[in-house]
Amino acid sequence: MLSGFVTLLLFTVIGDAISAIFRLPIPGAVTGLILLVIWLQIRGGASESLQQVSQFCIRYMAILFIPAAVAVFFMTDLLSRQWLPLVLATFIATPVGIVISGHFMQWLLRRGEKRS
Amino acid sequence: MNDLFIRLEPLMSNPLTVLLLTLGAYLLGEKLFTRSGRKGWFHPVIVGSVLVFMVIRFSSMSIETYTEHSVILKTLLAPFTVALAIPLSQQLHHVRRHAGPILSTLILGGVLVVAIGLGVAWSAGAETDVLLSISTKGVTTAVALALSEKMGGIVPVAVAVVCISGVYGGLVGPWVCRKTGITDIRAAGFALGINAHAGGTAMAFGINPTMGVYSSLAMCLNAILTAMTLPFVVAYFF
Repeated sequence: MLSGFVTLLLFTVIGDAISAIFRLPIPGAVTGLILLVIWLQIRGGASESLQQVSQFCIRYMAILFIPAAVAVFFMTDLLSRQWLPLVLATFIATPVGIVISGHFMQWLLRRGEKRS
Repeated sequence: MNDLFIRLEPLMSNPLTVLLLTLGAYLLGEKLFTRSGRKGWFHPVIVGSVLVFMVIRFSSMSIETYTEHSVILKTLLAPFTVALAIPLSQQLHHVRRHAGPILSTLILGGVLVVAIGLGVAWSAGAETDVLLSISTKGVTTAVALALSEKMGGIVPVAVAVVCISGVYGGLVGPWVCRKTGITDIRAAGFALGINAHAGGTAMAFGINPTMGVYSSLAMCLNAILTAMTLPFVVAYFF
């Protein structure tokens, strides 16, 4: 497990360094994620240790969101002022987005399969 | 008795107490989630954060102390995000097989999720920083948090919007797909991944493994696409 975690940390720090060097507004973690995908494609797969650590991280990632989620409960001023746009953006926009993207991709896939 | 309280006071501003509180609340939330038959709204993050809120509200711990000492969890977010590279790398062969439909839908869907969210919120009178916090609603929480911080959004609001969109999208998404005639599980999975990220992906895996893979793929790809483009768009407009 340790070597897998060191790999994750290494790519995180490299990602942060690249974002800092080029003054990119992209979070370092995303740069690190892209680099690790490229590395895994070149190497042809992840080691056992890296796979185990990655499964653990993804399984429990949600714990790391709790501090931010708790802070929302203390923003009563903002929420009482801006609840309507927030509610509409989450509850209306989400299903509309799903329907449009889903139909678009279904149409493209069918068109492609008819041709071949 | 009073003396005892004074002796215990430092415990309330101890990083380990904060860690115990957060992990313990999540664990309880997860137990309740499994007990309830994995009902969406009992998501461990929602139950866990309500529990932590109650403890802070009714104890001498302040939200400032909690935020200060939970910084370790925020720090771990970056390497945990990088871990998404492993499943993404394993699923990349699907992209090669259906490159056209996948990439076109990714671009259209990724733009739409931002545009519809912002359009609806703007017409309902959202303030600028609230708009910024809504702009990351199609990105999985970990990346949305980092992005929102970089762009000057209200991080807790951004996280709440993403989490609730994910849970809600996972609940209504498959139903909406059936009702409007999206029968191709790959298309339905991909649409769920873009709009409902982890919540949608968990639901998709429960329905069909292929649907889950396409949802997970869409979630990772859209996080990358949005993170690489949105900061530039926001810098131009705001």
